[in-house]
Amino acid sequence: MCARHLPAQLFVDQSGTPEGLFQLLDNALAAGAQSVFVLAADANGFTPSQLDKHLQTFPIPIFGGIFPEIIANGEILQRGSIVCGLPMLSEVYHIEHLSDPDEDYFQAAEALSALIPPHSTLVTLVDGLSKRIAALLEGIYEVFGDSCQYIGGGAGSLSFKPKPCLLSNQGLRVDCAQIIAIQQPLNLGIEHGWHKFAGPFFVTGAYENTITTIDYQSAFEIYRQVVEADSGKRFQDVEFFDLAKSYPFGLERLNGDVVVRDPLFNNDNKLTCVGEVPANHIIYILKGEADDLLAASRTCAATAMQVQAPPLLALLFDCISRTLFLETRFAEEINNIHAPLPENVPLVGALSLGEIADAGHTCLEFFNKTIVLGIITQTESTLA
Amino acid sequence: MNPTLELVSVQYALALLIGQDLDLRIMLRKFLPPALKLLNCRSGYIWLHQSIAQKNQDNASAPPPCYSYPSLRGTLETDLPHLATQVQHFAKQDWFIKKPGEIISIQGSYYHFMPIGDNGLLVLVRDPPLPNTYMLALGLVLKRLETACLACLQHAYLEEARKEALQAKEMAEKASKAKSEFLAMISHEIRTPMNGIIGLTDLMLYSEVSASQREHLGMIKSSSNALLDIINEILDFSRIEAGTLTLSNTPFQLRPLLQDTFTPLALRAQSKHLMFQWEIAADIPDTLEGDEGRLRQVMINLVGNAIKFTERGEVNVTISLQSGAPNGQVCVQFAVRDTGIGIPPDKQANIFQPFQQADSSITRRYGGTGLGLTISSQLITMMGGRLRLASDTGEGSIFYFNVPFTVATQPPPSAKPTQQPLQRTERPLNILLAEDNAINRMLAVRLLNKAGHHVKVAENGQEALHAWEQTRPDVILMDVQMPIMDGLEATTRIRSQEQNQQLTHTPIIALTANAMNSDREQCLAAGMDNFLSKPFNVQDLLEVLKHSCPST
Repeated sequence: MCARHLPAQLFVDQSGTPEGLFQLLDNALAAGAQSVFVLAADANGFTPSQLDKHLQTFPIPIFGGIFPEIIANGEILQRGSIVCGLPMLSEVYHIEHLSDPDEDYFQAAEALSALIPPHSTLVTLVDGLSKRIAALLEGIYEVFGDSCQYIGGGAGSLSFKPKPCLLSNQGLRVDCAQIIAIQQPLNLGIEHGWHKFAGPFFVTGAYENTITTIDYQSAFEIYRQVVEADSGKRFQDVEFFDLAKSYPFGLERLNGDVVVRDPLFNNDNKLTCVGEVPANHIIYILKGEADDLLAASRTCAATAMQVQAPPLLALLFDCISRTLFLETRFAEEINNIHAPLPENVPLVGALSLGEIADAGHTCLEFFNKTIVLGIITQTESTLA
Repeated sequence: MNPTLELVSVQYALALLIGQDLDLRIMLRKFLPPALKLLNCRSGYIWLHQSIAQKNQDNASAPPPCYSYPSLRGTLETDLPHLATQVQHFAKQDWFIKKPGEIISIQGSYYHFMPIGDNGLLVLVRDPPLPNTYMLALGLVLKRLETACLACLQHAYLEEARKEALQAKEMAEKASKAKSEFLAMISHEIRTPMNGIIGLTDLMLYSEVSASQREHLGMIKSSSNALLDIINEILDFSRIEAGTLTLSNTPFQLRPLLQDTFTPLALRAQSKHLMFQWEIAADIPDTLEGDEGRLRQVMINLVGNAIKFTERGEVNVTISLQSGAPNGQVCVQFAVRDTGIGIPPDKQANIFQPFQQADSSITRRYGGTGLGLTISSQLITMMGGRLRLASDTGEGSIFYFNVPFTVATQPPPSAKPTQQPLQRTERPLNILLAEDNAINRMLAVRLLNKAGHHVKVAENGQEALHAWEQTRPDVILMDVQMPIMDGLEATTRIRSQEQNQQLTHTPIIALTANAMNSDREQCLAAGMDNFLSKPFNVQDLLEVLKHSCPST
């Protein structure tokens, strides 16, 4: 994505208008970009009718997404657009039907294996409200395994209403995944800072991203009892996510680790999450303290910055629900991530609906409520 | 979490991932990736000894895993050469691995080599290595995995066998269909000239002939009918084999039926100086529901055989009521006993098989197709009974069967008129006859003229269509298989013109040597009104004409 001597260039528009975005795209073209990575804020209210015509006639590869909020260097934008002009062509691939229960993503990933060389970094963007993101990642990892590195996140809206949220040369897309292969290596930090609070429980009934029963009882009822007892608040008095954002689920991993799952809403006593929850799995209800979460962001930046080669670009996918939880202190989190970066390394990122990363010693996972920071560095040939 | 609880809960979750499908690859795919995530592993590889043995792997290279997550992009040697070496090492020592498993550090990662019972190997790649307690706990899970894998392999084997059996069945069915089609075709080829022979014989019998000529003509007719019986037997058999034979279920009177059936048989017995007796129990209802024609066919076959294979003594038929029939039904037993040559016990099992007679010398001595008993047995089965046999060599045989009948509440339709001499019709019709065979054409024209009808002929469908356009006949007798344009297409065109030009409907009667049910359906589907198979009885033809063209 970033070639020798020509770093990525960031162009930022704070108006949030289609014209503002089109101007940035023209600027990137004029600056010699070979392909562009676009991040747009959901509050812009972009629709296919506003963007598609322009995207379809744009002369170079374009990819990216509409996220609840976006980040340019240390700044969080609730409205506006960021265009990251890249000094090289990018190959952009799509895998469709991300909520179809019958789709076999292994086949789709297999079809890409001849096109994507080994040791690529795969920037993977998904419609964050799709129902089978974990299955997609399982298919991608089954094909590419540890020969590639992975980073990405879920686009979409905090209204939790599915709508076109991935930008491409074909226009805005919904319920699909976008895979961009780049040849520069990646160094990752993955942290969340949440800790086990109640459990273990067994997920006794679940399909796709919905938990129906926990310990053979209504999933919501079990969850409600724990959360209401701890918070002193009642679900009937508040919006579900206002309370649930502080009590995510954790999927058990051996030796104490958990993978976080954000419960989004209560649907007839069933809990729908961002990303799948497998049946017959052990889960916990997690809880976080602001200081723990902020400590996690410092650890994340420190881990990601342990690079072997000069960094070119910092790519951040930070869960939107962390801003909802940390509220005013969220600026500290972004600062914790931005501050350790060298001045000449741009930070571009999104507050996402779910995060994608390969921790290096486990399989590829879809995370929630997590910070994923990737430092893209120069290759050895670039250094030479 | 409490370590014990953690151990048990991981074991529980892993155990529930096993055996979610009977397809080996799908089952392993539903097990391994989530298991690796749960155990915080980077990758996993599974070998099953049975699969390796089946692929006849030599020892020169490491056998590929039967499933791995992630999948290999190349071979095991190219992707993971160190693992390949290690696996080859285990393969050479007959897959012996120390329990609960061996952990080997390869290029900074810990490879856990764990036996899947006695039938496979699981390799987990994890950093840091699994504690020993987990290795032991996993051993139990892997025993269950072994069972699931063996079940999948067994299932695959059975599926393969099932597919092969299905293929063999399909091929046999194709062959059987080809045979049925061949029989139908041959039957058509024989029926066409037979129609000429029988029809012309009939025609001559209606004319002035000398006594000796009448006797000779009678013999020709009887021989032709015997030949027709053989063809009908072959046709029946092919219909039964093809599953296209269906039974009718209409009210009929049992006693008159038996009387009609046995009268000519009694004459045949008498000519061999055999005593023939039949007796029907008084408590059997007069009117039953069933297939009268097929019951007659069975009785003719069984009694006919009894007379054929008996040189002296008697043939008895007993019809009695059996108990146990549900309300509204009766169970009737038919038993045919003879004092003939009998059937040796070792031949009795095959006697109902097609083309079988007890002894090949019997075929030479008595003749017959060898299909009669097979057809009777199948017909009785279709009626809900079973044909049985009790026999001793030289002591005679008893063929008997029980058949359930519904007791009819409606009287049977009035009996068919008996054979009448050919009479001139009161209502002459203008008939268009489409027939490509010159003899049959001449025969039909003569018979119809004799009956007082006017006949115009066409030699193919196209001529028939043209003649219909020109003359508008009262009725068309249409052969089906004709050159240039067949009868089906001619009918379709006539019906289409009638519809487009709002013309009066001309009745079309198929006259064809094709006698299969499907032929009748094809004719009716093409728009024909009735169907008569050749060789036809002249009275039947006149009846059909009368029925198709009622006087207005």
